[in-house]
Amino acid sequence: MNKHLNLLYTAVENILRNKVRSVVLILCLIAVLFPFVTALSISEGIKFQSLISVEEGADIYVTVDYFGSNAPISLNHLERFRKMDGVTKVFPRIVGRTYFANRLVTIVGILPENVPKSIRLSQGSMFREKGDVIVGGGLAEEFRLQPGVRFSLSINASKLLRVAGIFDSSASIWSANLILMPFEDASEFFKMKGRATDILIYTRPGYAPILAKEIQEKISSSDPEPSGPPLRVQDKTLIQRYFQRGFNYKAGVFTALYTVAFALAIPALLIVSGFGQTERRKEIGVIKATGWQTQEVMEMVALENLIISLTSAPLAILMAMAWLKLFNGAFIAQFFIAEVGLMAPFPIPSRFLPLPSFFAFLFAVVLTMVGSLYSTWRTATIPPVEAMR
Amino acid sequence: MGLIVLTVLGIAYDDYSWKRIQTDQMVAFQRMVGGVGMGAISTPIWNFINFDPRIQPVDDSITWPIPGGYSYGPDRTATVSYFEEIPVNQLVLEK
Repeated sequence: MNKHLNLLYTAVENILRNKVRSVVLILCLIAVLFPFVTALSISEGIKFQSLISVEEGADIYVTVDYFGSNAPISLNHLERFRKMDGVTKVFPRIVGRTYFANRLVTIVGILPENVPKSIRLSQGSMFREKGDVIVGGGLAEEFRLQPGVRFSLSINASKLLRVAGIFDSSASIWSANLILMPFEDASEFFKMKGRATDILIYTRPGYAPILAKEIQEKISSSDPEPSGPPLRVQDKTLIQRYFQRGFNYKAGVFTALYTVAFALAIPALLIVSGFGQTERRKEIGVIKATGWQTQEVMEMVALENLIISLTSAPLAILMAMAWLKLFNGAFIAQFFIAEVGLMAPFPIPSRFLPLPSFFAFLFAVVLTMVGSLYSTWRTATIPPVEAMR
Repeated sequence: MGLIVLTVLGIAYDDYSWKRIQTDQMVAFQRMVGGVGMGAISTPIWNFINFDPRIQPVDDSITWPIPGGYSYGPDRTATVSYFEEIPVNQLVLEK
């Protein structure tokens, strides 16, 4: 035990003695690990918010299939869905997009009775009169919108809207560039009276798959518009599949790409860790001449690498944490979340989980070990006189 | 050693804060709108599929600007999520 402790002390001394080499190595590792940790933590943060979106969303979404794409659905279907066994709530929704000046925004129209009392706005209040809208925090900040501001948009210039309130930026990343309005106003705005983007159906537990099948097979065939196109039904199971595939696939691709990047970083680190290689060769020659075994030399270098990894991986994680939590991911968040700009108008969701952090440490260990163990072994197995030359 | 302890404490605090803060507002918002948004994109700049595949599960960006060509959507590049159309079997074989 004493022998191993002595080797550990020697490894620490070596790191402190070769300050430049150690600092360069730690900085290189941080440069490799920082984007990896940042991307995975943002991915986990968005995944968490998406899960809420899926869980709190409807059990079934019904639209119309026009030539393979989603299309507006007639409100005539509402009553038929309400009468189905197992259905607890049915409401129509409009989701569309338009430009607010040069900024693309999502327009959502919902029934005013769906607004919960617990919703918190950063300014103003929920809809009170016709034409009232709630705008996202990002939009309000960019165009300096305040409650009471009246505006119209060129898609329907005759429809006058008034900012009644502004969403709290903590609501979700998707509320930042969103305009929420009552369903009737959204119908008038898009000039689509009597139609919704989709009809949301909430069911009793366990009923969703049966009802989805029933709607697809029976209601589609007995449509109030018999010559109309078929319905498209999406239930929560399908949405959950989107969720799993959307995040796992991308995270998998990202990790695979990063593994390649790590593999490429190994020769780079081999060069960097060989920084002061002549001196290191001489050191190994001297300690071998004083009676050290090859295995002891290898253990000392492995311990050095372990200490370097245990320093650089936590530093990379702490730096990513500070950058995302304190500076809201300024400049780097845009690489991982599309359309946020240099300074995101909402809190960047980031979640630091133990497993990705452990992977960061593991990658650091692999990189440093592969970069130095072989060269050390080669030096340690040649005659000390030759190594010291 | 101090760095490791600080990192472990940071991760633990982050986990704790995710469990207790903000979720009430996120839940209220999503419940109100019936579930909007799933992907790592704040606005559907190219098409809806990566913003929310419930609204448009079909990636119609392959039909423009070059029909059948490569999609130029920015949400296809470096974001941390990507949704692709889930195939639905519509084949019915008649005997």
